[in-house]
Amino acid sequence: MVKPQQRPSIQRNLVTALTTGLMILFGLSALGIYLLMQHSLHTQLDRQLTRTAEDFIAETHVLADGRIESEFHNFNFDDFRPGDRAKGSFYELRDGSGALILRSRSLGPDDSLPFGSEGAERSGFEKFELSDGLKVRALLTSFPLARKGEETDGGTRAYLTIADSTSDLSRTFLILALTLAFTAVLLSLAIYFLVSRMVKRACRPIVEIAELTAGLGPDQLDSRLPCDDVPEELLPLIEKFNEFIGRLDGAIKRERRFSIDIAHEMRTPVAELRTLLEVAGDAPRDPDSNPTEIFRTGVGVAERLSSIIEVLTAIHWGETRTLPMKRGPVVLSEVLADSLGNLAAASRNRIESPPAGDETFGIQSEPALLRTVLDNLIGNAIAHSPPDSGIMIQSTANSLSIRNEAPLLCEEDLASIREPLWQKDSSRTKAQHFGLGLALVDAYLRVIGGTLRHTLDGGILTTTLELPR
Amino acid sequence: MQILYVEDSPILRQSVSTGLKRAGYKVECADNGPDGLDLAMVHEFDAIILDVMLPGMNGFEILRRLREEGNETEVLLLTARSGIEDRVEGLDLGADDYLVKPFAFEELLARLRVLMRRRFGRTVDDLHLGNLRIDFAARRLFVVEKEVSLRPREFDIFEYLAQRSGKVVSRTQLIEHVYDHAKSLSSNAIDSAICNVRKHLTGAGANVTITTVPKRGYVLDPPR
Repeated sequence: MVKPQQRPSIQRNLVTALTTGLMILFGLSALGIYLLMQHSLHTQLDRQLTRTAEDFIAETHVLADGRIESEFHNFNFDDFRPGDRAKGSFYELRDGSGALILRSRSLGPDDSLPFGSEGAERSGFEKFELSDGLKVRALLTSFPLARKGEETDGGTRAYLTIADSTSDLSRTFLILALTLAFTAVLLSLAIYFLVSRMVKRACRPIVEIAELTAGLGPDQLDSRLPCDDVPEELLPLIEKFNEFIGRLDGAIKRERRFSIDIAHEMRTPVAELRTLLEVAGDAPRDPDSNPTEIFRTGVGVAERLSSIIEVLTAIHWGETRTLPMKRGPVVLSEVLADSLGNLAAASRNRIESPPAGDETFGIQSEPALLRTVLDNLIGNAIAHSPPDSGIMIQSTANSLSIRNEAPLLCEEDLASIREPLWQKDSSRTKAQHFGLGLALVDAYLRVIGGTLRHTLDGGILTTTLELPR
Repeated sequence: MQILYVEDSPILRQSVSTGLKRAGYKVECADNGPDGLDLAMVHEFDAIILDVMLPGMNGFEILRRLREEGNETEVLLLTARSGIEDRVEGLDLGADDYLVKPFAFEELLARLRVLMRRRFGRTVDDLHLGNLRIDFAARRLFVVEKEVSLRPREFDIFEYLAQRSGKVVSRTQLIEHVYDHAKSLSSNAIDSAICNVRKHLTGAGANVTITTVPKRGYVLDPPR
């Protein structure tokens, strides 16, 4: 059975990282303490051995007959007596030839302590084991012998080895190590518990945001995540999320509006067609009915439906940039003249379009799409301005400005004016206008490039088209 | 039956009113909200078919004002808005029915018949008066299961009187609900039509009579 892959968790990662980090830190500290203690106790032992050796040397002399005498040996200190070897101390004194002169009573017959030699190949502190395996630490040294009360002559040397059992020391180290290890285990558990709590508390805002976000349904997109009391690190995320929700809300509202509008645009002509045919078919011999007129009306409705579908398809092609293109040099003034000629009957001499200075310069564009853009913009100006009002069109080589009266428009309408099927008249009575013209212009401008702006000032709408050169 | 149809689509307005007239209804039309409201306030209609998205004033607003004025005429909302919230709003405002475009014309007629039955307190399309049976849906009249052939206008008059049997109906009411305003009537058109209906009923052996109430109008008397 394949174990499902565990999803990464910020909380779990933080707990793991912090716990591990703190445990490593504590482990290193414990090791440091242990080594420091070890060094300190060893140093203490070495000092003790050095002091004992100094005392021994001070109390050791050469007698007149050449024998070596040590009052230290004669003192017979408790530490050097036979007894508990684990707590005992040991020494051996040898002459210059290495022959044993004195040895502590604490040493057994099989015990032998190493000793230094001239040249100090073996001198200083050493660890070794006695015959019974007892671990000891010893100071190996040599010193010049002198007669009592005299300075040394530097000729005769002796070798002294002073040793102490390290059993107590080892036990102390073991206890220290166990204490530190036990503390480490307890502390690790405590660290894990505390870190888990702290991280959980620190991650609480993330969990709350996740819960709030999960509670946002399609019908609650007008609500926003609260920014108050949000941690600094999460604030940009919340702000961006709220902005995203806002955009999503707007898009869904536009989509709903579009669905309602398209339903109305399609339902009404379908209802017209259906009722027209049903009523006509119900009484075919009605003397008042005019089959030719019914047929003409039906064809008109069907054409209107086709027109809606064609424009919606063209908008889709424009938005997905799948329109067939024949880009080439285009003179804007010539396209404008064509468009004005086409709309001459509809405009009834209401349009004033003075020639521009650099109007003969060409731009790179798609002539057919550009022509559709101009037809729609100018057609809109004619259709949606009062019948007796003038329309001013000014152009340059790559821009066009249309000014017309728009008494019904308000500033808020400019935000929606280019949405598909938007109409100022909510009854959507005008059968020849669907509110698709500017949406089509928008879609085509995405293909050929260019920008479209609308400004409203004192009831005058200015539409500005700028095309890339 | 007199119907007011408020609709801004000229094609739909024309088709529906033609169909309704053929079905025996007298139809008045308005192409915008204010005109529709004026007509509804001035004249007494048996039902109003109201589009919602109208220029000038939407159908919901017309409905709200009618109900505020105490006008209880049956209203059928006929609209392209199919959302639940639209239906709820319309019905909450006092609409009696809601039909979404596109619709089958037969369904519109059926729903109008339901509204008519509700208006006159009936539950079925058939009305029995004495030995008469009137099938309002098929616009047919039977005396002891034998059909009496009436002209459309005569049936309209009889239907209107039958809906209000036992009550006096004035000549003006008959003119308003049965004849188009546009058409001029000769002074004895109503009398002539009533006379023809009486002859048909008597000839078929009907036990109901249409009585003239001097200076007030006519009443269809049910059998005692």
